[in-house]
Amino acid sequence: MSRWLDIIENFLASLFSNIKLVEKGLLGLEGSYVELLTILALGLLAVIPVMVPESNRQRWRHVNQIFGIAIFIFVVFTCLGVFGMIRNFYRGLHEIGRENIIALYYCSVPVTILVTSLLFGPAFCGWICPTGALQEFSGFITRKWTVPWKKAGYPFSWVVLTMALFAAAVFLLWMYRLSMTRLFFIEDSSIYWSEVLIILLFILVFRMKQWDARLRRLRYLSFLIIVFGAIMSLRITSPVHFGFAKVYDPASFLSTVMVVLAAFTIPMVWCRYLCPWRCVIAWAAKHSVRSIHFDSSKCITCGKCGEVCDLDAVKNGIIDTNECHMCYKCVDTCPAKCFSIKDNWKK
Amino acid sequence: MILPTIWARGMKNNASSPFRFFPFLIVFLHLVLLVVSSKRGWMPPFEFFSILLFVSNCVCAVITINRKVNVTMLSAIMLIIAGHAVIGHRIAPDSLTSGAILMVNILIVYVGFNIYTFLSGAHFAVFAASYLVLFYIFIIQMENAEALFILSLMGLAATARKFSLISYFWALVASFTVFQPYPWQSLAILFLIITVILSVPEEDRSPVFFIFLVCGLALLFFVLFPVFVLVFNEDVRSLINVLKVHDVKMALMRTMVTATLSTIILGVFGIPFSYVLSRVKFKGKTLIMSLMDIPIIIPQSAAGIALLRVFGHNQVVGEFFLRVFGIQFDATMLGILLAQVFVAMPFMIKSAYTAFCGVPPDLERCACTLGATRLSAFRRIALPIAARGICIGAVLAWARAAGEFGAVLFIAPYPQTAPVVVYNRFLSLGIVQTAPLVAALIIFSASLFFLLQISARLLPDIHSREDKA
Repeated sequence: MSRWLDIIENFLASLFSNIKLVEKGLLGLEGSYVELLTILALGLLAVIPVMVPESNRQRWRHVNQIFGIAIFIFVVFTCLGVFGMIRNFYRGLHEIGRENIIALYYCSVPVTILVTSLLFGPAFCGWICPTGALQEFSGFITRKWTVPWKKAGYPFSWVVLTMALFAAAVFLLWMYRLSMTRLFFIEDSSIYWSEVLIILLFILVFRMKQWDARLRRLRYLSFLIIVFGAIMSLRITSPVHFGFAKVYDPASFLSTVMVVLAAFTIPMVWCRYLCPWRCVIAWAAKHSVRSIHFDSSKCITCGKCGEVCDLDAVKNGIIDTNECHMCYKCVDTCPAKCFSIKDNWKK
Repeated sequence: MILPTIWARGMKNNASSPFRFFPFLIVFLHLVLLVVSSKRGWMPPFEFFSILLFVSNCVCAVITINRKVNVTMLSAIMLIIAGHAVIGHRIAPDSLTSGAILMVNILIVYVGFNIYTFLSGAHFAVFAASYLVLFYIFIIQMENAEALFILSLMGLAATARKFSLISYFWALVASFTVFQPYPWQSLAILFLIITVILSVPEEDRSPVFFIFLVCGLALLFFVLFPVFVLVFNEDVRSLINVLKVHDVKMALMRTMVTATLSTIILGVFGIPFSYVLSRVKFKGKTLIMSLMDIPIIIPQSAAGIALLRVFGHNQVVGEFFLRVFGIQFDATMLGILLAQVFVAMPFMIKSAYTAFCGVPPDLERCACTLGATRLSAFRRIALPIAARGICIGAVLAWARAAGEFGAVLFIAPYPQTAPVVVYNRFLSLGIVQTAPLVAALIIFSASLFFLLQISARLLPDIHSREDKA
């Protein structure tokens, strides 16, 4: 058993050491170039949703998501992830007027995301966010079981329970393995988030229908904890480090894997219940210029929009801006073409 | 920014517009600029970035032939690209930064073209002026801030269309540039002021109200700013560390206990008294009511000395208590209690009096006709109705008692209460060492005060219920 774990760990480590070689090449960009490139790249990725042809929009979106992962891994590896972004934003604001380059270094990603969300809707979530992309891609694998589960109104299902048990088993085993060689500090607090994720999985397997809406408020708690941590200047490592941080960080890598595994069971589970950055984006989305309009006169009440939505944000055509990721899945699947994307500058 | 807008007003129809070939004019202009500047040395002509700009301008021009795009907007963008080719490298330190600024400028043009159609002239002027002011702040005034210029322009682009959003944006920018040493404090206060001003309903928006409001808010700013500076400037860890100091911890506990006790004493003696005051007419009532203000009128130190003059252990009354009961007032908890009761009395009694005056006497008389005694009428009618007012008065009295410094210092400098600890620490260690303690005290007492206020407001309010009915 232990030997196999060793082999798996070595394999993973070798995988990432190769990636770090690529990283070195990009480190050649010095000064604030990396951040400028980030702004340009993120800006471009946010504009793309409008420019891509409608016929193949979802395919384009997945390409965009892969680019998003690439950018977040290679270009902004120092300030990626949901926790890091809030903390860095706070720190970056502090540095304005003292160390302007450092201020840009910390603020570039959050400001770009906020601004694009205010203008083009929360397209960051659906089109760029690497965490969302990872979850979505992993959700494809188990779509065969989760989609019927959702259609039936989330009854108890042995398949789903098995998936949740699998995720929990991986978590416990890995934690057992890590705890043999390592002490955990507050820096590893992303582990707490993955613990919460596992507990959430079990609650949701049994009580998804009743507790779904209420549990989504956990995001605010998560946000508050992170903001408080930023003010306390605690270094809370992001769970979305992908293990590609400068230092190989097993705790945050574990949490990344847990996010992926949990998304097998419940699609976009991190975005739904725990993502702290989503609170800010939801505010921006409320004021955003671009939004999806629903023409109820055309609607044939087939309910397909609700079925395709991974976040349960659409119900009979009415879109909850608090949850919507602007992935345009509902727009593309609607047989009656009820949805249209509109820019309302007066809003 | 304004020039392309004027063109846009005259150029609605793209297909038949006389300005259709304007993009090609710009490309020609760009070419001329390239040639001339290469001769004069204004800009590096055959650098990669410069060529890129020229090519992108050509592409833009070609796009205008085939497709029905907004020629005006595209020509404005092209003009900006040409402008960047000439002066971009003089402002930005390198071509990548210049390129980023160019991209953001294009975003600004895009936003400007979309919002000018419905924005009022004044609002659009704010938008245009904002650009210039941001340019002044980040490019001219600050050094190495081109990157921040980019970020702030993006913020401007996102917030320009709404007056509320742009005011919040400016609050953010101003507090982090102009008020730099105290960014978070000014941010909090500015957000507060903007929220207040923006939430005034349409029918109340008269200049007079606005001026009055601003006057009051300026006063509030004056009060809040020092407090916020003290609270926000401290590291949270130093706050926690200072709360771990034994003296401070004990002083906080002692303050809470004594303030609570003195509030209870005031309640037991004061509430029945204020009930009588509000119900019974007697001679000298006005005099008694105005004598009640004495603790507010006289200086706190005077109050402390007056108490010491009577209750000190070598004074007549104090000696009597010491001899007969073995109780000493000065330098004990009892002395603290005495001083706190003394200064907090008017708050308790005045608000209880007002609360009882709000209870209609007819209700009690009615209860009496139905068989209630005077006491049960007080206990079951007047007290529950006035409970909220009394509770708020008690909270005020509590806060006054907990914050009392002058009187306590004279009669009982030891054992220390929280304000006395602050004073002693200031004398012995100086202002830098005292600041975290004071910040912790402010946070502590403010949060407790708000909690008590909120819980007092949870009590039923008889007047608002009548209004609703």
